[in-house]
Amino acid sequence: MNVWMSLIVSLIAIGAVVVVGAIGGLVPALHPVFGVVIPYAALAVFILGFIWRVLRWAKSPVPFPIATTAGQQKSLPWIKQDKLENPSTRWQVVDRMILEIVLFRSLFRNTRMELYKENGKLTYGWQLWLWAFALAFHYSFLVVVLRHLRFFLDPIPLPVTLLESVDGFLQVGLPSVMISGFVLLGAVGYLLVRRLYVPFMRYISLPSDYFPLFLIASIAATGILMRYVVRVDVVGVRELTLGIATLNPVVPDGINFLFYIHLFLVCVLLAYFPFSKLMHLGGIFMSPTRNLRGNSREFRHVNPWNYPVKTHTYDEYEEEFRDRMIEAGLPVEKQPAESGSATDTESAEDSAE
Amino acid sequence: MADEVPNPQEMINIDHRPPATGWMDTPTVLRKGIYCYAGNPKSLEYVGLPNPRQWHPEDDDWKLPENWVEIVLDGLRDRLDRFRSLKIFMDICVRCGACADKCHYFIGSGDPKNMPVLRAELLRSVYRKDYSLAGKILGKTVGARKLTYQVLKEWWYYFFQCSECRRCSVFCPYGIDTAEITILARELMNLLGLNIDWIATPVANCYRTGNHLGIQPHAYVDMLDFFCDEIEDVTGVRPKPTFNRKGAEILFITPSGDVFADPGTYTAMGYLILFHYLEQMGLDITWSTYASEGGNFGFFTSHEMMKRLNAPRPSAWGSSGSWAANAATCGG
Repeated sequence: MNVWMSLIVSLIAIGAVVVVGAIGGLVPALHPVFGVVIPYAALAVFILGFIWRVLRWAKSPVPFPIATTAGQQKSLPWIKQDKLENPSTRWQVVDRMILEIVLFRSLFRNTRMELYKENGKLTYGWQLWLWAFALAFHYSFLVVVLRHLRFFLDPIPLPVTLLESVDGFLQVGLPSVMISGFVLLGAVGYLLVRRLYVPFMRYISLPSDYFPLFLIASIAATGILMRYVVRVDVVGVRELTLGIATLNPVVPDGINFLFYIHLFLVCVLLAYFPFSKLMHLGGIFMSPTRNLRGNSREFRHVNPWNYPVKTHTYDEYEEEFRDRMIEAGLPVEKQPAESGSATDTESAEDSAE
Repeated sequence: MADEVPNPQEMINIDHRPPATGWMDTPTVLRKGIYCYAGNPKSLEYVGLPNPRQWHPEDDDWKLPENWVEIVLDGLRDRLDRFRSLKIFMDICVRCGACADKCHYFIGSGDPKNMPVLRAELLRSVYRKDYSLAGKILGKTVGARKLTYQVLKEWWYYFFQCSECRRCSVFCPYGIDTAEITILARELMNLLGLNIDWIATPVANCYRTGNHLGIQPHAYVDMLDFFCDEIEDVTGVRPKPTFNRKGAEILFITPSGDVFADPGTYTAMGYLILFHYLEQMGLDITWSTYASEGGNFGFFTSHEMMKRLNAPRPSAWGSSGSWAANAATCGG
């Protein structure tokens, strides 16, 4: 599947979602379905799907200590251990994981290889763009999600109000511009352009890479439209969302269909989440190369499914080479007379290379 | 190997641009000089690996068992249940591409399927077809494909172009470790007798003689004796190593390359000189001809083979009542 096909397929999928959402918003009879039933269903799929996926991972054991050991392991006291790259205690693992999850540390060390054919030089340069935009993307998304708590909690908690005032600190426009939404849209744009512009990125990208980007971009775009361009009955919207949160669903009249598109896109994102690469949210916590200790020399790890295997025993070894061992002055367990069978020196000869 | 050795100017002429066709639609052509020859059937037979036979990678027919698809898919299911790493690594890759230009096989070949992300996708695509509903229904759209003969050949070609160095896992934001994926993919291929002789014969040698070079006990002693001659010539002092000596405090194991070829031989001579000194200080050291491999050659075949080949170490150690010291290994 080439890049055009991938783009077309994922754009058609997004188009379909938007159209369905619009129909849900334009036909009043469908409002209970799109305003209540589908959101509950999507939430259920998200929660149950997430749990199912995590349990499915947890069911398989971790048989070997396979932490990525990119630094000095704990050794003798005068040898300096690299505690982040090769943690030996649980707390060091926690440090490593926090930096990984909160600051995307592994992505921070990203480099780019360049090959200069004229002089035959291969160079590496520190490459921070992916890290910077990935951080911008995830944190702006988080802020947007937290800001939306105002729709689900009554009274609106102080932290949410504070977050809003920080997010809108530029105090431009009325209603004042929230930076996070635009950062989110911009970061998604960068990730998309990078995927399309860098040849090898284009090559490895699947429709299932473009689809979530389009989905999140559409969510951000409809949100921004509703806030700054198309007037939406915010009171009505809040009535509906509070109804969902308090398990007393109500469907107020007169909410713009744009809201139903926005809501349906979010529902699709929730339902899609557990079955897609977006599960890296859960996976990063369980990745054995990051959450294990590099303590294979300190502790004996026992493989839970360890089973006996056929090995070449010392007796079998001596049996084959006894004569030669005696000749070479090596100690043997049995003397040739006791062993009974003569050693096959022919076969011993042909494997010496 | 290639018939003519290219000069550096030709070798640096690497094209890192991917082809115009999508990777699933770009057929894999096995290039001479890139692949290794098939495992020698005698070696496979010696250690009881499945399907020993004479075959050549460029042949159309690889002489596989009739139900090979079933064998591989069952093997995959079994490994998903035994390795959480495999399950997670199959599920969470976002294809951010951070690993791509970290792989020396990709840097050196320019072949996009040598990017760790695509190497993993070779297996992941089959996993999706079999284990995700979306993969079953939507197929290629979600990056899923059936396990075909072509796919298997592609696996063999690319999973033996990975040295399991784990560099990609350092750069991956989720720590996805291609080594883990390569090890398990090779386990699957070994179920069908798909191996390379650079691995299969050293493995058989390890099993039989205790080291991958196939050095037999008398030859091992002879080689160290030769080093002692050299040391005596230069220093006037002759170390007196012992072998398979029961009751020694320390059993020393080093990669067998150290007793076989330069520059490892100099390292081995260094050991001999060091041990001569340490023995005067009161340490009690012996070498083993039975556990004579410090390298981890089973690692390149399967977890089971790893255990089978490493068995001589604790057993030689157990029977002598000493504790083992293993010098720097190769093969992890």
